[in-house]
Amino acid sequence: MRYRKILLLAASIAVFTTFAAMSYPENSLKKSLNFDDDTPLSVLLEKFGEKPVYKQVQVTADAVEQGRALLRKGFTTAPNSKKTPRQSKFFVCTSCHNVQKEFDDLSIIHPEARLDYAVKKGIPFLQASTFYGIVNRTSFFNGDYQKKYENSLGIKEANKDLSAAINFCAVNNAQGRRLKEWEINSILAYFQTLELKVSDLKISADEKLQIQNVLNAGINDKTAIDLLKSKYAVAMPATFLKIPRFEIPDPSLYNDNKRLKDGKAIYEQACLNCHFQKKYSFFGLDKELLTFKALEKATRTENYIFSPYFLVREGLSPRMGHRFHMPLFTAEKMSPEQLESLYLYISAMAKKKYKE
Amino acid sequence: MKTLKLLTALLSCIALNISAQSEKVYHTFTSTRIINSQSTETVKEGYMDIRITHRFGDFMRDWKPENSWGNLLGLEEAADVMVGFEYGIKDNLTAGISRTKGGADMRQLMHGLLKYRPLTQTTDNAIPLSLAIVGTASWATMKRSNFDPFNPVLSSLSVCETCAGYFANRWRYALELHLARKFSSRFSMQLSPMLIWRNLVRSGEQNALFTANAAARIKLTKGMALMLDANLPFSSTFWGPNRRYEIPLGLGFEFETAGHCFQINFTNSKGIVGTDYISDTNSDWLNGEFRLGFTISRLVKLKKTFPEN
Repeated sequence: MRYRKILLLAASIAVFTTFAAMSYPENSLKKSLNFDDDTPLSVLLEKFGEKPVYKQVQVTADAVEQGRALLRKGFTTAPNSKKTPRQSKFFVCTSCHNVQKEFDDLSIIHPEARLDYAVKKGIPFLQASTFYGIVNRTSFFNGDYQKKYENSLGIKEANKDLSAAINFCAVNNAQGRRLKEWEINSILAYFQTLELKVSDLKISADEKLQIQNVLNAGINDKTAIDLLKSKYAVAMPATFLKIPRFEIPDPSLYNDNKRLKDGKAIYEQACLNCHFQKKYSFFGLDKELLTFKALEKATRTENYIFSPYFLVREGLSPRMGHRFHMPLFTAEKMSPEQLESLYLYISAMAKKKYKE
Repeated sequence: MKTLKLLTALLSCIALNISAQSEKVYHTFTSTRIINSQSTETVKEGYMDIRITHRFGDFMRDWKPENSWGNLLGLEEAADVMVGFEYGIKDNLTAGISRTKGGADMRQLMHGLLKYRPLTQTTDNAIPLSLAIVGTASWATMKRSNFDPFNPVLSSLSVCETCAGYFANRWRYALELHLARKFSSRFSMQLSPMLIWRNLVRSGEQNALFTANAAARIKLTKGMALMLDANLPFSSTFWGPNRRYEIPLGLGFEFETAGHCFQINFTNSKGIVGTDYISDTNSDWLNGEFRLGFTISRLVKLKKTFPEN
């Protein structure tokens, strides 16, 4: 009789403990996450105690489609089923920003790596940073953009807040109207579909094991956060450069096929992306001999606004009567060597020294 | 009409099929006009081309200096003036409307234009030529004037209000086929058979006037080109010592900037639009009866869409 009571008591304790363990939240051993390649980076970071810096919005199919349309076409259908006014007469967001990855390894963000990837994938080589993974970054309008816009309203907020950065760009760069809150939310919803996943990062097997162990331990771990953040750029640096002085290139450079191919890629995937068939500008460019001759001559003319040297480093600011403008390329988006390669290609084509 | 529709459809199918694989040749010409004649260029979809064209008076009639001082090399006269708007419905379909003063008897002309380009030359020569078909209808809106027995054209327009075809007398039409090829970045050439139909003609003339046009562009720099334009009507009234009319010939320069195209030219024709100048040019180059003219063309983007990256 006594044994039966003891057995009954032990069984009750075991059952109670099991139920208690199953319902225990968060740090329970049963709640560990086995992450895979499709796991969003933000989910992992949140597990380790890092909250997202951007405003969390509801990601619905409608919101994503509205955000996508706003970015790509400049207008969408509002919640009241009416077509919204165009955000800008001059640009859409994808005029200057890609929506796909721009680097093979997101931790190596040199312009050379960016160009190689653009050539490999056939994507435009643009002045602005991609929207892919933008929600995983922590700051915007960095470096010299803060100096450029230091007198503009909202630049400091735009540095830390993605919603503010979107509206700042919409008004100051796209030269359009401010976006309403629901429009910003729909863009953020679309951005969330472009967030980084584990597969986008170059994480070795050992590092994955390390991360998994931390996950299993169920603790907030700064080392794991730092490890993940080292695999991509949390902020895109921006350094403005002066217009380079024109120097006659060494003739031996015309035999450097790599440089000429880089120059060709930049001409086709950067310059012609906007100027071919006067897509965004009435200043048309093409691959005609006379066009190359005109560009080559323009480059030799110091501080001439149609010189590629001038336009790449200074851009063209918007002004009354000409709000269509050209954004500049920072050092991180086109290096001095790449700019020189562009001139090499242009002059080689002008002098018929390069057969494509 | 059925045959024309079928031919257009067939040409479009060929063009679509081939151009799907080949890269098109762009900017065979800079503008939709080469001096007076139409080119194979159409206005891009969503854009409007605003054109102002002016033809001054005779430069030096009979080569007498007193004639040129009298009107300051023709600058104090306006042989014809045009204000026009052309809109790109599609990249290869343009519709336009314009008003000209009129260089000959018919005045205050309103013109409607439709231009369709079913074929565009490709870089690999799969399509070696660009083809554009242009239809123009011109309506003389001039008021009735007093009866003038020495001007049967005006007489018919003014007096015979009750005559059958009074309204019809005011109409002229043109059907043009333009075949162009961009031989290199420097040289483009165009040949165009045309049919001009005039509802009202002088005695001894035919309503239908067949003509051939030849035009060329020689590009000097990225933004500057030399233009040549000649029209050869197949009618005895244009040839021989007893001819009534002269061959329209033009020579000009073209300057392209971002958004604008400026043309400065010399031509003996007074009229600007084909239905006006091809059949009615009676100014002779050899008598100093040519004139300075200019065209300003500005492209404005009306439809604010951008092709996606």
